[in-house]
Amino acid sequence: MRGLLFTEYFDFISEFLDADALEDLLETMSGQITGAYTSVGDYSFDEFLKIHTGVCQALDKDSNDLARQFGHFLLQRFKALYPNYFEGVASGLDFLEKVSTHIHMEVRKLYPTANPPDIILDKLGDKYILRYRSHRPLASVARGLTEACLISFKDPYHITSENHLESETLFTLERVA
Amino acid sequence: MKQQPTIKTLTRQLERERTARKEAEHLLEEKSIALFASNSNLQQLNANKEASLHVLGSFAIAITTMVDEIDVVWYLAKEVVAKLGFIDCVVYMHDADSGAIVQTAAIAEKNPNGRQIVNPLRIPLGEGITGTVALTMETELIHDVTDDPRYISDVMEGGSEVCVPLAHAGQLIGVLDCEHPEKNHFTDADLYILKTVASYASAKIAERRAHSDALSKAQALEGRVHQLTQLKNELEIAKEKSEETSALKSKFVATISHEIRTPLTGILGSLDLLLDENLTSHAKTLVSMARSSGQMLQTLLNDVIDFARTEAGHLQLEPTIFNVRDLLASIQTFWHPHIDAHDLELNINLDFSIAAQYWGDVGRLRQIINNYVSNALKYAKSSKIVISIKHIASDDTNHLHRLKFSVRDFGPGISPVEQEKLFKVFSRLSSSRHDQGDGAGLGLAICSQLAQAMDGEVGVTSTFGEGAEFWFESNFKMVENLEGINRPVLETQNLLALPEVLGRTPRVLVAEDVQTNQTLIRLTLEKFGCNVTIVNNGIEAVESASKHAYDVIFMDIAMPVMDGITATKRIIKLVGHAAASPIFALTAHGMDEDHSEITQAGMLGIVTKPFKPKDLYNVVQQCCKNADLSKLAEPPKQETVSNNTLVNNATKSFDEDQISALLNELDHASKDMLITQTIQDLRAAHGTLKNGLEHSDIDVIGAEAHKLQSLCGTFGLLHLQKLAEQTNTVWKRHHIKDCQKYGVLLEGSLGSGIQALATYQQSLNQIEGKESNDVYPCP
Repeated sequence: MRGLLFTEYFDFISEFLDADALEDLLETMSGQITGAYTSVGDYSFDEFLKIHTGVCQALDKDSNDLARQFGHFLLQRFKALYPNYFEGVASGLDFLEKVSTHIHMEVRKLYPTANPPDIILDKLGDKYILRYRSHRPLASVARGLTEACLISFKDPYHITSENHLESETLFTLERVA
Repeated sequence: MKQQPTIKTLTRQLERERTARKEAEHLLEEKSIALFASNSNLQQLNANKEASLHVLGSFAIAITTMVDEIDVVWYLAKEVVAKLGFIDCVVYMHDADSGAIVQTAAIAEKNPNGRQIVNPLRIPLGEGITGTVALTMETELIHDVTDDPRYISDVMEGGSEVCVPLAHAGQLIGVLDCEHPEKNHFTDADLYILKTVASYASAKIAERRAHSDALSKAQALEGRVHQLTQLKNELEIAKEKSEETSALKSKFVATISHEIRTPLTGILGSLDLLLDENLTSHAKTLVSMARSSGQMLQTLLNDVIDFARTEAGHLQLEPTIFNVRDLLASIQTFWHPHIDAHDLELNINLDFSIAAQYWGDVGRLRQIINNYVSNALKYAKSSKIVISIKHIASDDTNHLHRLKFSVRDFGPGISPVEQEKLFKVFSRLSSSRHDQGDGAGLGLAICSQLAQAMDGEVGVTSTFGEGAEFWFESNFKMVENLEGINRPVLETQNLLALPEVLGRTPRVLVAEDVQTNQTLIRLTLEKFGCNVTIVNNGIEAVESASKHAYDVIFMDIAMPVMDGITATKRIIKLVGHAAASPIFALTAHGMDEDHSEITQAGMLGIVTKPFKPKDLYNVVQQCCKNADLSKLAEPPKQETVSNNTLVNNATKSFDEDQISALLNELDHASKDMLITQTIQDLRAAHGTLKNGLEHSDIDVIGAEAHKLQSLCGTFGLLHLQKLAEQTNTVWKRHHIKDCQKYGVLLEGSLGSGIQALATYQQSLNQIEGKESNDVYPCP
């Protein structure tokens, strides 16, 4: 897993968890995790999961809710870090389309070891089905990212349901009444 | 409210940040090293590629000028493969005769110096790795030769090998083989570049081979052409010789036949006369038998002469205007006695659309039909013979009719096999037809030749057992029905004595050396009521002709002392063209080539021996009639001032009808202008002629006469036209004195011509009610 997600995650939880608590938490995992992360490095997803689980316990928060919140946070960060990806994009749906076909492609070129998820957007009548397919169970992050994206572009769509299948998670996007 | 982090926390945070930074720096360092390595690799690759491209480029340029394929393979080994970085290379060439590949060029250990090869191996196709490549023409890349049982060790042990075929358009040329002592040394890129250079070399070698192939083929072809040319020359010489021989043979046959025919004529003529005597019936029978045998012999001889003549290419057509109905009538009359004798019927079918007159050689046409009828007579059973003339096609623009003349009999008919042979030389039918046949078998062959000469076709249609129809077809030009023009006299009735026809006794001179012929002609002509003088040779003929006027002279061509041609020339020279009696050649010479000589000498025609009495009759009658007509039309004496007998008095001086017809369509003013113009032209011609005569310049006279000939002809000044023509003729023959004489006459006669035209113009003006003010003084 890209180091960038770790460094961004640490920035994200600094809002909820004070530095002492975080360092204490990390200390309890010493030996099991690297602990120090650089955005250009590559790290095991297990480490991320351990840290996230620890954080949720410490904050007494639902793991999926926090992950969804992290998704919202990430979109703002992406806008700041990679503004050129957002240039000329008219809507949130367009951007979601672009993520899998274009952005993740670029990521694979730059980092041959990276394994980004597939995001597929299917139109179904006046609805859209967003399919999230990844070997990492981060569907909630994806949901947060999607919601943030629709809000950010002021798209008249919102997620009305979420279905977890074995290999992928389906989000239904419906027009806001 | 957030608490400030403790020192301990800050220290822990810092420691984590440092660890992360070191990790990042380490990653960066690794990336940099990897980047540098890949950059160096790229540069090396580029450099190699450039070097390879350079080698390939040089190769491509170098082979363009190479002529010998051995140069190509050595260049391939030393300048290409070696410089591409291969440390070993052997080029094998395919030896098709022995079915093996032979080491031909190499580098490294195999090639110590120059173009020498150490122990050049010869490997049969299919043997070892190179032999396999040669056989399959597929490349081989072997990473470890020790694993390959096919490997044949030469100078190097173990390692790897790459081997590509040299081939073009599916034809094996050789093999290019490279080895390396290391295993797994060669890559696909090595294989690719070797394939590339192999294909360059193969294309070049193939091109050189094609070139030398083409060259040797061209040389072979040239040799063949040379041979053929020689052969053609030899054949041409042989052909000329054979043609010469053939012409000689024909001439010989014609001459011999002629020699036989002359006495035969005498015999037949005498027999004819003998029949007129009072003979006992037994004698009469014998004479008749002798006569019919003689006639048969005569027919045979005529066939032989005709055939020899056409064989020698001397057949010339003599077309005239003829009437198909007259032709048929005469044929019918001719065959009448024979038809009766055979108790047959001769029917004639004539298409309604057949024109009255056509242009063609009626004599030859008659010959074909007679031949067919004579055949039909031989084979027709006692029924009938039908002569049909059909109009089978028309070409209106050229006024042509295609006519088909056919003779049908109802005899046994002819089988298809025999039909094919019929028109060939000496062919006569076997079986039933043969029994009754006679003749030399030349008749139909002659018909075929005559038809060819007339651009026509002959053929036969027959169903075995139902008779046969022999036909001839050709195109004939229709002729407008103008009575009297060129129309041959074709009376077939009993001939009236000439004095009765003409009202006077014709005077005839005959020059003939053979006594039998003399008697025969005399008796024949006297029978017609002629006054006949016989002389024995040319000299005597000239003497008589210069002393007496004859209505006609018959002149034998071949005579002792002086021949007929010379005699004729003498007579004309002595007496002049106009005053000379009409002279006819009496000749048995069948060959047409004689004709030109005869007419050039000044004779008017030919009577061929054996003559028919009617031929002589016609000539005498015609000549007398012409002379009598001329006298009637003779112009008044004042017309010509000269007493010179050269002037042909027979010609009417001015034909008003002709000029009227000419001017008929024009209005009066145009007529007037045209005549005025003509008169002026004539006056100008008079001046030119006078000038020419004063300076004795016959070229001026001749040229002016030529102009006058056509001008006078156009305007009906026939007398002047004739004079101008004579003047022009003698000028062309360079008879200076004659030319001057005629020139004087022409000049002297121009005045009367002008006068005639002026009178005619006046008469025109009177009709128009206008008096011409022009006055034309006589020159």
